[in-house]
Amino acid sequence: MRVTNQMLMDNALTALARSLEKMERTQEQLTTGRRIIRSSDDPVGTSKAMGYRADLARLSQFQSNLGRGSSWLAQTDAALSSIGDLLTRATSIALSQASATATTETRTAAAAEVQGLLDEAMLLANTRFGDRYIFSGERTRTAPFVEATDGFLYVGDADAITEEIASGQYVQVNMDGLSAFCSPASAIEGTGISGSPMTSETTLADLGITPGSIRIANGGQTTTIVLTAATTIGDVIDAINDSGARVTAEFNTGCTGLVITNLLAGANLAISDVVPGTMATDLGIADSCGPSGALGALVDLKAALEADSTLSIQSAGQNVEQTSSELLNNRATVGAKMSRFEMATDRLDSQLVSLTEMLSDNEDADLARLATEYSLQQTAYQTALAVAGRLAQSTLLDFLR
Amino acid sequence: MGNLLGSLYIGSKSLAAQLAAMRVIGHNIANANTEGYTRQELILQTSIPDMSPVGPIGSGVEAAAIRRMRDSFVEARLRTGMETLARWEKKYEVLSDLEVVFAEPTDDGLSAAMTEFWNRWRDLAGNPEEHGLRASVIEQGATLANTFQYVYNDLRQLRENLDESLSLSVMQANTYIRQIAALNEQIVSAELSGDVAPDLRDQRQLLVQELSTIMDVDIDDSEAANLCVRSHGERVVDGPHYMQLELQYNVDTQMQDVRWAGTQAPLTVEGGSLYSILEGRDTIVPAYMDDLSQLAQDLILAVNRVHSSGRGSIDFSAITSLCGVNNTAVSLANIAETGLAVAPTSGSFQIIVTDSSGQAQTTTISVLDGVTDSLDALALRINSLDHISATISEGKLTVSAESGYTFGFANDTSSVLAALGINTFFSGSGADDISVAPGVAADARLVAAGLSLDAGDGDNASAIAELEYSLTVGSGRWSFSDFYRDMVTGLGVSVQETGRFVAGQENVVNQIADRRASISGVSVDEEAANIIKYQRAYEASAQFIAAVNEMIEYMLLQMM
Repeated sequence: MRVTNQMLMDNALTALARSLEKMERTQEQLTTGRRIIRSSDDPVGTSKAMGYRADLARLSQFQSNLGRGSSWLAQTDAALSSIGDLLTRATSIALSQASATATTETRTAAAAEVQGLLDEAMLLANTRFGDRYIFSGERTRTAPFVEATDGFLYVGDADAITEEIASGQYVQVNMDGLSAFCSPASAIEGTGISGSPMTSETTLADLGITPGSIRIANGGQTTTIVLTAATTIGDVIDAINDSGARVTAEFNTGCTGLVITNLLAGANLAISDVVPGTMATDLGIADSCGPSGALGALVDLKAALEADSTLSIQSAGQNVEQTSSELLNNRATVGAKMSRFEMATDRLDSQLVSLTEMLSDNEDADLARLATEYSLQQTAYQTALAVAGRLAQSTLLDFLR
Repeated sequence: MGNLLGSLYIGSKSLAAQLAAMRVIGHNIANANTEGYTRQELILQTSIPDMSPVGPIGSGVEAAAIRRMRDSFVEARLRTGMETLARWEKKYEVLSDLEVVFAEPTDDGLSAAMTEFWNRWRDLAGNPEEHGLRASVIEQGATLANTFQYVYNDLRQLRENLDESLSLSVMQANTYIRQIAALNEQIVSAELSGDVAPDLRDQRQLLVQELSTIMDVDIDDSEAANLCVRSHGERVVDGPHYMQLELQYNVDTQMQDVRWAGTQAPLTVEGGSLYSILEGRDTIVPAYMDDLSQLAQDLILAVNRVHSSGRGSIDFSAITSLCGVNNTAVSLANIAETGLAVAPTSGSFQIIVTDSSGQAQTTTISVLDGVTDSLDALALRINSLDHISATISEGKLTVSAESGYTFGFANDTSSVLAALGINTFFSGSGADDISVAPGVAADARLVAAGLSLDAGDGDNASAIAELEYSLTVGSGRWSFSDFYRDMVTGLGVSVQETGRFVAGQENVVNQIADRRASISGVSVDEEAANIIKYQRAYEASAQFIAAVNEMIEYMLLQMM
């Protein structure tokens, strides 16, 4: 092939340009420390990089959620443990005051001490985490219990506060006031009114219930609820909830009946028919229940001590003990969640480490390899330069002197 | 004597021929670096012999013609090769620009903004009492909206730039076309005598090649004095006649259309940089704009659907829908008439009216149920409720409560609230106009973190954060981030692929160019050798003349 000077020059220049391009690319990677600068550098790697980054950001959020949830649970555990101490003290008071050595005076003094325990319990029930009441359900801006003349009224709700601790995995961190301080619940359950699960649209006629009026006696207050206009079971639930009788009405688990829960800790609840109506009986809720849970037990004990009745004090003491064991169950639940959070935190930490490693492996430049490559490219470039320099120097003309 | 003079004549002809050859060599050397120059060679041939008793006897040399050392086949290949290269190079440029717009992977692109957006909701879900977290959701929402908008605007800018470079390319092509026609005329007149005008042809050849890098053209016969250039059936250059391209602003596309000024026919182009400019402007960039808008639209709708069924830490005393309806009397499902971006479906939503003591009254309103179909009907239905009223002004629905009452919304299964822009988080309908809804932006308490007014209710914020995993885009085929990732990855693959095409085509063109240079290029060494050859021939001819001269002189002397 015939080769011209221009060809040699062009080829040399092309080679130089390519050489420079390679060096520029290597240098870019070296200076940024990254292997992927544009998505075209490695489209698959880019896709991975974007995924890893999103995962990393999400995991960091879960980590902060876990931290927040753990603190919340620790706070709950501490409050429950203190309540446990109060109940232990109440049990020993009950034991000593039920004995033969107790006198009216000692019982009056003991009643005052139980009042102190009650005040303490109220403070614990109204524990805050930051500015959030932890036992109020979702009504975290409201103190869960308010002191009424005839008991302690729960004004929180039963809703769950959850933290997402892994993708799509929500864990409830709160315990509502009723579960924590009024457990086992002071409630009346009317089972078996329907063979199949009901909805709020289920009509009373279908259930064979004649609308009438019911009476709810709760603590020192009696409320009459006129239900003659109700057509569905949902109407009944709404009417009871809106009646101001300080109870909540809802379906039981399985939706085969109603549960009326007393919101007034430490009070007696009784539901009866307004004769000649039979609705309460038909609904299976014409019943009564006493105070329950830590607050109920303390109120009960105080009343027994004030009444100066050995028998009542004994039964109140048993009630306090039973509540203590119930409280332990609650603490166990919280404890289990705490250890779950701890495990999740550990798992997340190791996940974060390995993810960061994967991100780095995927994106970061191999500096040692690049530095070697760069020096090789530099040598190649210098050689090309030297050759190009020689090219321009010699032609036949040089030898025609 | 006659033969002696004849010999003298041979000598002088030879001198002239060698001189002419030297001149051609000089011309070659002078143009060794001229682009498009074709090496020339003087063709020498023997003169017509004289008759003599011994038969025809040589009468010396004469310059027959100047030959351009070229191979029209190689030149045609070079032209098409460069046409393809220009096309791929331009496409690579367009795609690289796109890549810069998306700028992934990075910590502050759309991908990161989206992830952070979901995280802020997640954070709020766990602590909805914290006012600062509501504000941070709004702030991140605005960042996400801005990112969408600026990426979209960059894409639009890219399209406009392509439209501008279209003008430049068309101007350039027009110049080449005019120059080729002008050269045609010059070549024809220069070659009237039957000779060739090599340098003019070289220039014309170069211009055709330049034109080919802009658009694909066909040439009838590259050897013809009158070069005829065609483009998909249009005669672009025919002798001294030529046709220019013109640009016409298209009101619909807001871009320029290219057509032939003579026939008014739209330009068909299948190669050269013009092809890639048009492809980029009309196909590639718009596709990315559409994808981005699709993503934004689906995101807006998904977030708004969930948000509009939730409640903030306060309720509304009055609210006006963001999206106006063109025809308030037709069914809301008829988006052609209503002008809404999305159509609600048959379903229902709840309005909860609360008095100052906290007593709430919940009413379920069915929509698109055969009765409450139009906006007018919906206003009428809301008006039938106690303590709140609805009015329509300029197609927008305003719901307001009596003094002392507030209202909120819940359980919208019809998407009517999201479609109308009531209690929504985002306003806008695509990547170009997405922003945080003005109501929410003005009052962070309206961020619907919960399903109730309870301070600790973060259930709705959870539901919004959950959207991160939901397969929402493209009728439930991708999650938001997957869709975007596919977009970016696809772009990366295109850039990579096009880059390889460019590199490959560069090699092809280089090889053909080498081939052409090997035929048509000037080798200084070769010319130097030729110089010696012709110099020696000249010297010998001069010597010959001197010898003949001596002979003539001797004879004249004898005769005297």
